Amino acid sequence: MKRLRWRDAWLVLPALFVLVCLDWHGLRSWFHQDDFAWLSLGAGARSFEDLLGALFRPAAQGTVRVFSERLFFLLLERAFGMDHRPFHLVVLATQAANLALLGWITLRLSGSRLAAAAAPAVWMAGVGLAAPMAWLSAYNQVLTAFCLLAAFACLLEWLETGRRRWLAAQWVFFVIGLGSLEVAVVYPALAGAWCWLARRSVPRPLWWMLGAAAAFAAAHMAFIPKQSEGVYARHWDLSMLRTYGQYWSLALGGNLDPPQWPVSWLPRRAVAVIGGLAAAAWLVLAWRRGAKLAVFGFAWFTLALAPVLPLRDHVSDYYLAIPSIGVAWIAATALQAAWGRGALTLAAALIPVALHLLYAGAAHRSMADWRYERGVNSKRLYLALERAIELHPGKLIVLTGVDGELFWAGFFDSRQLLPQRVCLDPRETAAVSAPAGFGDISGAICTPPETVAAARERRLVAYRWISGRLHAQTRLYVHRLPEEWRDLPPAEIDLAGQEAARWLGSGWHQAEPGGRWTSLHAEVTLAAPDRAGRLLFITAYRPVEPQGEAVHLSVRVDGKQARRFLLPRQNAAFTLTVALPAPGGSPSMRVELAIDRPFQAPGDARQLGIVVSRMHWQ
Amino acid sequence: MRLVMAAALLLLNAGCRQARHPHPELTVEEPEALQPAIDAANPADEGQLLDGFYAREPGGWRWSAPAFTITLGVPEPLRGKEARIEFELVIPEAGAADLAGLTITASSGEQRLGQWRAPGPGTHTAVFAVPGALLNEEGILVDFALDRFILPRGSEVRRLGVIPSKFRLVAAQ
Repeated sequence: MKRLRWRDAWLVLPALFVLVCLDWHGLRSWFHQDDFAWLSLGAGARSFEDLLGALFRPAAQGTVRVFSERLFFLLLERAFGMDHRPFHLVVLATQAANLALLGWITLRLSGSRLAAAAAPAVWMAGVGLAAPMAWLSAYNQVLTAFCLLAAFACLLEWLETGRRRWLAAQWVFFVIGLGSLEVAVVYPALAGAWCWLARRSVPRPLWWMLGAAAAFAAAHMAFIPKQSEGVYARHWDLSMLRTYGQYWSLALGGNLDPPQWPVSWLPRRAVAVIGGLAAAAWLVLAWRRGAKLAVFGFAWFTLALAPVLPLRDHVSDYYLAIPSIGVAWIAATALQAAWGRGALTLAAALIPVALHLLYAGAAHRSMADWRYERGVNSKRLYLALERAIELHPGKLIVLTGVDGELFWAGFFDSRQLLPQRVCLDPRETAAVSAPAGFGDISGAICTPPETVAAARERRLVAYRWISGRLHAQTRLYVHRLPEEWRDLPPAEIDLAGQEAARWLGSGWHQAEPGGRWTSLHAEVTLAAPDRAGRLLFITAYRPVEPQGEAVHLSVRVDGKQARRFLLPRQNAAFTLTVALPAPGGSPSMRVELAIDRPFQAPGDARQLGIVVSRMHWQ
Repeated sequence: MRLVMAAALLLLNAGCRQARHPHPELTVEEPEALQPAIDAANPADEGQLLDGFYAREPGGWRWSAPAFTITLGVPEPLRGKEARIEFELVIPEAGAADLAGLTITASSGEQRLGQWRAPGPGTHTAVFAVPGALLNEEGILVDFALDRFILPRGSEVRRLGVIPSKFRLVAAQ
């Protein structure tokens, strides 16, 4: 095996050149999409328990990526706040290490400096790395690639020297990989494949690693909830073969639309077919010649892709980030084999590789630039919202004019970082609807009752997103609220306020500081819940009577018994929770409170039940 | 090891956090004090042209759409009293054919303020009576609707209404 020396550092220069050319914009893109959800982790972590939850609680399709998502965002956000540059520096440093590792491994296994220079460059140009380089939430791909390559480098050292420290280091990288991306579970299979190709046997320690990977996979299947429908549903059937073919096509020919094809008359599928045929021919030849790295490249692509093949409806370019290392080895070894064997042979290897670089590279650049644009718009909206909140603290901020692209890039997740409620006008829901399986977006949409209640109480601020700025349009917005909304009851009532009187039925006394006494039976009208699963919260108080008996409160919703409580014996406010029925079509609901024993207040002849300070559902 | 410790310290140093800077340029706020008289060509009054106005033309004037909305401030002396809105506009000769017989309807919320029929091209003032009940707040929003407009032609893809000049809320005579 050839050893890499410092003077061979130039071997990564072509790949770094490709990186600069393709990711110049991508590496400067601002936070967008899921980035905001990860950035908000730190805000919720106030105790050690919170921190453990932030690090280990399954999120985003039930994943627990401690190193590549949780720690990456928690530490950098804590240190640098909303400055995206340090995050990208970490991505860049990790990827530079990946390119060096790939060059090192290729030189050792192929003995060719040409292949060692070509493999990192071909990998870097692939479409799979576009999102991970530009989108910080996809750092998991870059870090996991590092773990796999580093573990594999340790394997090679261990196989050569037999020193156990390399075996231990391999375990360390494998475990960090598992905490970075579940795909790392395939590492023992990758290592085993190489050992079998190189030595026709798999060393015993690798079987232990395989056992650990199987245990991880089993635990993941057993304990992490999986979606049974939507884009993240898994399909363990023959569709996996078609998905596998789609990924080959994507890896070789990119995913550009016809107007973006580098050669206008050459479709990307044709490039994929040319690349696929050339790769197949070279792999047959490589198998016969014993060119192990090329065959291992095919195994790497297939094994690293295997975990995502059941995701039939979620074929994503960035899932190719790690498998494409295999494509790079196939291409690099083909160039190595063709070098010095005549112009025709060289052309047969060079043309498919060049076409691949052209198409996949163009797709990579296009994707990176698109991410950059998303970041620019996301930043503008986020900073504009920060400014709006600064100007209107405590108000409900309603947005219009946000299209689906901006909603998902810069609004849906970024709300979690904002200190007050900002939501989209409910009439614009259709413009931002998510595909099935993307979860519930109702939290990002104002409900008509909260909108109209805020307008009524003059605590609504409306903005329209026009040409990258938020234009305040509160007067016009309130003026044009739909007539049918104007008489909607609110979803929240402050019983101490005079405004509440409009929605109260029989059984209520005058408002007092801190709330309002009910008599033994009181009625109130609230907005009907907008969807199933809403909870009604009743914040109330009843002084403890000396030697008083148990007091019960019955809550009825639209005439039906919803819940009966035994009131707590405490001289402090309490909050009761009632599960609300699913919406039945009516815009309002009637809530009845019935108390079974009156409260006797000295010198007060009124029939008293409890003091209610607030009622709301959410 | 020293290098790792230095990097960790650097990372944990909260002093690296960038100070938050306000970005006033990213929001356009509504005018706090509404004027009872506005000039559609005056950029300072743009905040009261709420909807249905196109960008200013090189000469400073602007077209309206077939429906447009403004808001005018209600000065204290006019609160709760009957008043009128005077709307100065131009119907250009070039659009005379399309706008022949034009009628403008003004309303505020559900309340219709009246109609005004244009006598022909030229400069006019349309007047609409406003009942005192609509003038109890700091401002009044008025919607104007045209029953005719200039159809898009050639490179002009907009639906053009009239050239609004001034809007004034004044006491009823």
